[in-house]
Amino acid sequence: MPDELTLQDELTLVELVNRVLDRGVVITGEVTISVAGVDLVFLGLDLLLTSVETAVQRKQLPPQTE
Amino acid sequence: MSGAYLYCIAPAGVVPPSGLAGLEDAPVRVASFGTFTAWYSELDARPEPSIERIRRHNQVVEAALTEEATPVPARFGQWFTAPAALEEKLREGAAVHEESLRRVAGAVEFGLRVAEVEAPPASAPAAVPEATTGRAYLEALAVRAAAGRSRDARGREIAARIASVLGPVVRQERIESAQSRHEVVRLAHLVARRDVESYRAGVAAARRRHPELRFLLSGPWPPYSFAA
Repeated sequence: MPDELTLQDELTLVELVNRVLDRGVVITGEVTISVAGVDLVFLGLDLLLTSVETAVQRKQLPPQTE
Repeated sequence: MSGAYLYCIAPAGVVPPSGLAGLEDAPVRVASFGTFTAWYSELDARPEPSIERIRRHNQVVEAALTEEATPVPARFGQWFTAPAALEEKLREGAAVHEESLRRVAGAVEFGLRVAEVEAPPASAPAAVPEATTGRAYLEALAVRAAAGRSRDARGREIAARIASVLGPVVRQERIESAQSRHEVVRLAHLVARRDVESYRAGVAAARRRHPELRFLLSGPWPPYSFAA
């Protein structure tokens, strides 16, 4: 159960990071980073690229997560 | 002199709650433009992204998302050399921002990632070979491109099936092809607040109707995917 909660939190973080970094209105013409179609996850100040593939490999897409 | 960091554009009259802190714990200020407002903080330098700053950015945007109002979120990193520069730029684009606010008014965003329980066999090489003839290289590129088009078509097909279940509760949809072997499509849905429960019920119905698919639903979010 704790593992499922951690994975849900991680997926929510992925969704959050992708939205804040890759979506939203651009006014200045500058973006911090944009990598189309690839999930972006920061750990501390390090940039890691991951994907749902990684989440599946680490196991368990949670059953019908909401 | 401090620069200005933009969080979102909000409808006129929508102001930050007292004590709301933004990046670097800076207070969230409001610039008014008649029909809309801009929420921003004065910062000494352009912020670099970190998990904490990303969370804080979204917290401010979510504070502007109320039962009565929906903001247009700014992307992380919208930094101006001075508050005056922010105001000038927003005033220039006023008509665009007003239209954006109208487009998302009364709505929230949901994210829906769809994976196939049984991933299809890989039909293309993972990478184009480096040391090869020119013809072999071009052939490998062609195979990979074909696989990509096939995946895109599959994603659109699944999106259409889901849309047929969800019906008109989705005001606007954004479709993005997935990049992993298991994930087949990513959807962003703009849903009116009054339709949120119908939307959730629709997703539940789509799950029952398609046991070969796995759905990952997130939200409600401020409408980042529909801001532009």
